[in-house]
Amino acid sequence: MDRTVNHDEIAQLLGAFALDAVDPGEAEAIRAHLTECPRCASEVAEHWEATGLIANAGVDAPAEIWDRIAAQIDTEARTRRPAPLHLASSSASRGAPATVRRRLVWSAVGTVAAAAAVVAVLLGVQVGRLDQRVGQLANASRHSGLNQAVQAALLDPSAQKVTLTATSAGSTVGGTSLANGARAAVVVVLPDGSAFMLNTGLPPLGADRTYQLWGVVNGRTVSLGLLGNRPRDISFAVNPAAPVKVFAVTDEAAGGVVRSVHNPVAQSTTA
Amino acid sequence: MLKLETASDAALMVAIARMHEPALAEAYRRHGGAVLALARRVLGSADLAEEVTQEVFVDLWDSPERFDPGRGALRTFLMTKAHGRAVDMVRSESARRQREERTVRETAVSGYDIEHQAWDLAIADQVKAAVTSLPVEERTAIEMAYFDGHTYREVASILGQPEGTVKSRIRSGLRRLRSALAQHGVETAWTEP
Repeated sequence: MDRTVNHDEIAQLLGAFALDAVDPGEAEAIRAHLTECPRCASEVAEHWEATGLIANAGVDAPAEIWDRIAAQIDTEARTRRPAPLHLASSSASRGAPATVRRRLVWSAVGTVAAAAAVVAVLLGVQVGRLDQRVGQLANASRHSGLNQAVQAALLDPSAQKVTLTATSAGSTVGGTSLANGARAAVVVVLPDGSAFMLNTGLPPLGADRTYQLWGVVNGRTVSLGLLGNRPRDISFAVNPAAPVKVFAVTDEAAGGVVRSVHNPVAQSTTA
Repeated sequence: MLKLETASDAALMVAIARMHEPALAEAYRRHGGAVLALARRVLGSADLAEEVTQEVFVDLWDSPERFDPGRGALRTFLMTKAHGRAVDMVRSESARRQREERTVRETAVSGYDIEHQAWDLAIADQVKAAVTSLPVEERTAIEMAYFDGHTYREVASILGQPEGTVKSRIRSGLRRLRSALAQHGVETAWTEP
């Protein structure tokens, strides 16, 4: 169907669309229209409400199918492996030869003296910020509003949701076994840049340790905050104009680090 | 701690987004039967219907953010997903051939068996009342499209009616149905029985 069909022509098709009874071309034109026409979108939602009811046959859900669903989601968690991290260092120039690149984020920096000096300066500044940030996060956690904000974010269709799965380095973390490929955490990022991390499997660490959240932005690895040794829901912010490509969590000495020398215990998978 | 049996669907969805598997199990317990029945109804095959049901709930687990609570009830969302998937399957080539044969048989024997379509569903009395209160031509068009996976064009061709007529009957029938259901106080949201 021609994309230029007008509102009235689309509107006549909304009933059939709600029943999945239009041709693929029509369906595409209608979907495009629905994104910009709240009136039609709300009519379709109402049609769906009605069809959902007439189809309601009220039989019991068979346990056998649940067993298959449970088996499938467990398998998915096991087979989903984190993508290998091959990230350029913040000190390595863009487009550096592959041999210069290292799994750097998590390895030591500073082959260039100037860069090392910059890092030294940043160290003081950033640790200060991190300490402040931990305090803010702790306050936010105690504040009942965080839970509501997290819930709203989880249900926001425009939110980007990223799963962090355990790496092989995570298998010994906290003296607890965290199965390689297990879901360790979920990061939710809203379009305005507000973001949350939910702990779904990171085990508690000793009192002298902390988890630290990292993100790769424009090829640079930046700290997104300290999570403490028993992470719960954490709020943080990212720049919406500079999307975070990869999220990772490391296990660090309490207080955190500016650059980690540890392999991440969990990181995001590539879709 | 969330008590799953009495949690609202919205609370279940939050727990599902947090990868709390028992919450998915509870959502399945509440809505899996209806999803399965609809898929079976459209597909006419128990095996394919189970496949659709499995897919719908695994998708809910993988992409809970696709459910927008502002747009309607969880049950409605799941039924819509299941129907779309079942219709895709039914329209695949091999299934289409079988279905065309079935349609020819049905229309040849009894015209279209509307009463059967409406009544063999074990649905609530109010819903039955609302469905049967529809003008028969609206009900026929809706049921042929929804339960048999026909497009409105196919419905028009089977019934020998203009496409525009079928289109508008489906739309006005759905509107009538919704207001009848609302009058009877039928709700789509899950409530503790």
